[in-house]
Amino acid sequence: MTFLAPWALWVAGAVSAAVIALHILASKHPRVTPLPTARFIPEVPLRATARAMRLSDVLLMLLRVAAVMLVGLAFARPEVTRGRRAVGRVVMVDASRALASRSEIVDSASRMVARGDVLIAFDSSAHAIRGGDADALRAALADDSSQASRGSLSTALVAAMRHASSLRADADSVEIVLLSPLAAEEWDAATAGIRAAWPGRVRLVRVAAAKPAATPATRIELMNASADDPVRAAAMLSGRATGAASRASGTAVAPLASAATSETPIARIDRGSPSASDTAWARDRAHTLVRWPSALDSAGWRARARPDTAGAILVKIGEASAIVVSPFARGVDPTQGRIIARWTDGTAAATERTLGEGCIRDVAIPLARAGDLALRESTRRLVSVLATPCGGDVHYTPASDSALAQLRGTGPLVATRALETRTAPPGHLATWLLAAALALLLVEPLLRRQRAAA
Amino acid sequence: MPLAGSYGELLDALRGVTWPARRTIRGPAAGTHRSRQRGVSPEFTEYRPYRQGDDPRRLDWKLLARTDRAFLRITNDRATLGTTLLLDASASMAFPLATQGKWEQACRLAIGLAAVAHGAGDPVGVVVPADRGVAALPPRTRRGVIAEAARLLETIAPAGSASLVPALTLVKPAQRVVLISDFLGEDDALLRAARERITAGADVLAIHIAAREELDPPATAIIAVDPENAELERSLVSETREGYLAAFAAWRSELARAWREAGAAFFEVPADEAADHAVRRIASPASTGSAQARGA
Repeated sequence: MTFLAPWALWVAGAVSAAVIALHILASKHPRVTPLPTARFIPEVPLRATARAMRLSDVLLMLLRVAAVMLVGLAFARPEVTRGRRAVGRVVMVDASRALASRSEIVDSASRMVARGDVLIAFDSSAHAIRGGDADALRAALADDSSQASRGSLSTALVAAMRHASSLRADADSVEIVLLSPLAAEEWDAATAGIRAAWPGRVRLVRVAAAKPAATPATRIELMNASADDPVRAAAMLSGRATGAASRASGTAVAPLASAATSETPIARIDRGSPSASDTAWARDRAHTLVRWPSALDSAGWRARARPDTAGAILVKIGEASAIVVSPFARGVDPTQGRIIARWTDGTAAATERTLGEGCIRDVAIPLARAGDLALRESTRRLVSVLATPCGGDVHYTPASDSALAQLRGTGPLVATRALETRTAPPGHLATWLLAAALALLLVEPLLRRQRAAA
Repeated sequence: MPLAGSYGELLDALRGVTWPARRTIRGPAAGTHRSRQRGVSPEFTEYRPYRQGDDPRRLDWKLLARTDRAFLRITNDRATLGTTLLLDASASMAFPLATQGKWEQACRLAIGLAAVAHGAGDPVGVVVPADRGVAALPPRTRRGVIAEAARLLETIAPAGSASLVPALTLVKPAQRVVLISDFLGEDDALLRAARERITAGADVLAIHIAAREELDPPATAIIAVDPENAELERSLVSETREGYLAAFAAWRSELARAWREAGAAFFEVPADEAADHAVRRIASPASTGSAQARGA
């Protein structure tokens, strides 16, 4: 039997000692009893009895001490253990999109896990595998590989720490094992802080990462772009809308690039005001709608307090980025959203909002019609980046050595008795002990009354 | 408080028990106790030479015819003996408080002795002095007097510190008086009054009721308070327990000696002793030193 909160035993012992002391002190005040033959008792000072240190009401005292100790035992949360292992494991299995082969990670996990260990599969969320064996893990990972999302080590670490306390009953120490490609995208700002909350080391087992998929060429549709529109020119030069005859008033649609197929993602750059059908098109068909009015003043966006000029712009979506150095006359700010392009002073030049399965990008970058800005390679790249699919390209770059070292840690294995147990449910034994203590406390007044009457 | 019917078992156990007088008595009515008078009963005792003035009807005429000498035929008379049971109902008899053991035992002894005496045809009465007056049942021989005595005792709760002396003076002389008390509230006045009654020919029995808690108090420390004198407060602890036991034993011994020297029969009855056993012990001719036991 082990006690999850042994401090309660010490508290109960202290209270019991106090009860015994009170019974000893109580003998300093003998009860007054009628005795017809009192005259035959030799006359001695009454304080002589006060010096008599002797236990009084032993049965009552034993009952009270038993009640206190039972309460202490109950709060100490005893658990009957049938045999303990030296080390219990919490195996975190990465099931995110960065994983190359699920069968490989299941095989690795089956070699790691033993009976009684905890298996946790995670991507952006984490859940414990019931049964804790490889078959259960294989069954859990087999059904949703196409729906895998970006992995989150923070989520996995929180789940591992929460489930580690369940190993208190049958293991002396806990080891956390991470089976993962350890892609950089799985780290976030909270990972280091959460990792610091776990005092022990983490065993890292790297598995193969998925190869980044080739980013398909985006087909660009230009809407409401005049013949001398610089964006149209840049798009045409980028090859994504080569030969396009931009539509004015919705009459023309950009042609496909020569290599484009029906699976090629589409980005629609609207140089006017998008209609409701454009929004529905982006939302329902997972397309990118780029709202880039040629006349920014009439876009209805919030005007800057003081128009000025910025010397350059940086756009970064996923792994794709572009920098354009040129004087830009800033007059408005884009609507609120995730910033995908910034001016040199850090303020937003373009934002992205998720809309259903697609997204809408608001671009507040004025391109001068005059000059050769539209002909520059950087401008063509700017248009191409702004037309990338929603969410950007996926590249599973491995985490840095420093991040891995921080995640691995240098501490020893964590003793299970040091783990928090506030969320663990109380055992039945504690309930019975509390019931027994309650029964004794119910008997105590009866016994006390009987003693008083005697 | 016991009910009248609760004495049934005791009365059954005492059936057939006799309680002879401790000395010859001078009673007019025919009874079971030896009388000082020589009469005409068929129980022959002795012959005595005729003296002038003797009743010629008591001459043994057959003996006179054979021997030509005049002898009187002497026989013993039997008489009844009135018995009054005098019970102490002071506060000290209500001990222990939970069981009223001393008072209960006193009631059982009174009823038991009354039943034994009444069974021999003796008049039986009960007197219980109390602060509010004396509850008395004069000696009677009629049927039902035992139940009346039981009902009388049923109405009494020990309290106060009334003395037995005034009640003792109310008892007619030449009766048997049984004092049932713990003798804690009495002084020498009761003994002097009893001695006077004994001198006048009364048969006095003193029965001392002692509770087990008095004879062997508990070992736990207590502050003992006299129920008849609240100012008397003593601590009974291990240091004083031996002294208490010795003093109480000496007092009981002196009490028994004084009463016996005065001519009374003295008995100490623990409150937890079986009442029928105690009654048999009290009524036994050997213990009472009765006239029959002495062959008087």
